[in-house]
Amino acid sequence: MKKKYQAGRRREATTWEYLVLTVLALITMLPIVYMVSTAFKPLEEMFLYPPRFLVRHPTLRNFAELLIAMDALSVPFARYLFNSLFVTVATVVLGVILSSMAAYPLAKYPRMPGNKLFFSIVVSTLMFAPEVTQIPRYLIVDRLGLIDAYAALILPVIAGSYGLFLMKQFMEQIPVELIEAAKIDGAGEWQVFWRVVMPLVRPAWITLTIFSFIGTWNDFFTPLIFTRSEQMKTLPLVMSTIGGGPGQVARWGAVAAASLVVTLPTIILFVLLQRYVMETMAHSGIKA
Amino acid sequence: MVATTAKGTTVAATAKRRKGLTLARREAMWAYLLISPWLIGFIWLTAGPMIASAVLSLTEYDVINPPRFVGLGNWIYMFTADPLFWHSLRVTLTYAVVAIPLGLVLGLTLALLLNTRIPAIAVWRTIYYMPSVVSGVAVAVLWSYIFNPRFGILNWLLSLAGIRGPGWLSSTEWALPALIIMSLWSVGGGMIIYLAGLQSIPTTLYEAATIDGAGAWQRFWKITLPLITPIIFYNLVIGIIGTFQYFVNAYVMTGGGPANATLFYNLYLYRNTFRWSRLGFGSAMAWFLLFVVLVMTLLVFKSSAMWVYYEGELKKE
Repeated sequence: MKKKYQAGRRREATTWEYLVLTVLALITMLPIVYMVSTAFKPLEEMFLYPPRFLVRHPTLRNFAELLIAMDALSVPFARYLFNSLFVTVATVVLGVILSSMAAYPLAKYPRMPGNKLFFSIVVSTLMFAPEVTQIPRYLIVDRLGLIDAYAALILPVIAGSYGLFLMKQFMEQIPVELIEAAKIDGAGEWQVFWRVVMPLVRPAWITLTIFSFIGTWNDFFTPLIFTRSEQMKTLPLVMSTIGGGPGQVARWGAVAAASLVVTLPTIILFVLLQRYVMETMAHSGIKA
Repeated sequence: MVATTAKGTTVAATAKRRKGLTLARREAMWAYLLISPWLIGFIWLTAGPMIASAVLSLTEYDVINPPRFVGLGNWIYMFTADPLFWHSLRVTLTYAVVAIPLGLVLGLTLALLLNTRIPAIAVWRTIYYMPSVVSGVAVAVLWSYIFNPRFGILNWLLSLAGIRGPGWLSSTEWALPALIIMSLWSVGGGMIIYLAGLQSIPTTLYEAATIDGAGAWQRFWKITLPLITPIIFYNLVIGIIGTFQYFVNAYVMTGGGPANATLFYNLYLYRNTFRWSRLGFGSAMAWFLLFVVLVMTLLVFKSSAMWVYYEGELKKE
């Protein structure tokens, strides 16, 4: 029943439906367009009333202010950008590899003692709210002296249940014959994993990469509790302070520019790779 | 390397007689080897901490002084004396009861509209899904500007229709509704999943129904809706879990205010733990949260037998 696309026999959309879809699409795009245009607005256009969606005299001044000045903060913006990039890339790479490595035996070694028990533990933690682990996690990281270290931002998030679950669901669909054939041809377990299994589940790990990237890149909570000094903060955390906190509108130009810098990588990544995500959604058996 | 030596010393003697065992052992060894890095991380930073926090919830602990066992003291205080515990739970539930159903209906409507022969489907899909991709602090900051009563675009748009917009985030009555409105912006996340489900419904079912004289309305209620109930169910569970973890928007946009109008459960938990260093009490709150989520998820699961339709059932009838 999966992937019955049958676009040819689907009914045509009516004019009314087009109208509704277009209006909703415009409403959806509005805040994003607004954010992009505001990032390029000179100060005098920023607080106009009535407000203007599109910028009239675009300027890069906001970005310059973001990169160099940020008067109250002594750390250059590039440092936050580096922190975010480094933590995200490390988390995604380690997380995807670790989850895939653990998922493979769970999917393909049914004779492994403890296989069933192990998987049911993983599934049950999927439902558990992360809040429960937060406090002891903080204490562990604190005791190890890792507060304010990159490791504190990376380690706690890489061994998650979601990635393991997704990878296992996909690896189960690989025919055992394929793996057996590779072994007969003389491939070791390690080779089978990298050369046979991983290429076959490419849509799954690309999807996991995207979700993990978006999740880590936007993560606010982890740096909030695991960093203290200014130079270890990541972009999302800094974004919340540039504007001066709830109810304030200080430095709106720099804030708008920062918003754009923060959101751009996730948008680009998603647009480029969205077809894999859709493929995974259609295959992952979410419907059952 | 480890595997071969281990095999060589322990299993070599019996290897000839019981070949199957050797293979099974070798496989198990590899299995554990592959799992171990993840497993160590999992036990160390997820499973272990979960147990630890259950123990912590029975103590009074402020990081500086050693934990002091207080039995169910935290729990009793939480239920009977804490000034804001019930309030924060009420805020969270209010949000859940309004935002989740609205999100479900809107997401499904969008998916139904997109499930037609529409050109450039990928573009539409990407546009609607975009807000889910950019979620986070940037979005929270962006929306707090949109909601700004003086120069925000929302009140300006309302003024075009002759409506005097409220103070939104700075108003005790309108702060929570503002966050609900904002949540509807990212219904695309659910929409994508509905759409995947809708597209797996065979069009022959609709054709047969049309021949039998069923109208569009009937086709929706009798075919579409029953067939996608598992997905509605899935989104409902995800929605409930998500609401109890609501944090970033409240922290960044309102800070829980004004006058605690948006003091979500998770935000209050954060304050207790990390701002006031009440780690024991925070652990109790975290476990209660887990309990509520589990109960609600179970309720949804239990009730699902009444309204969720799975494909296999057709054959039994």
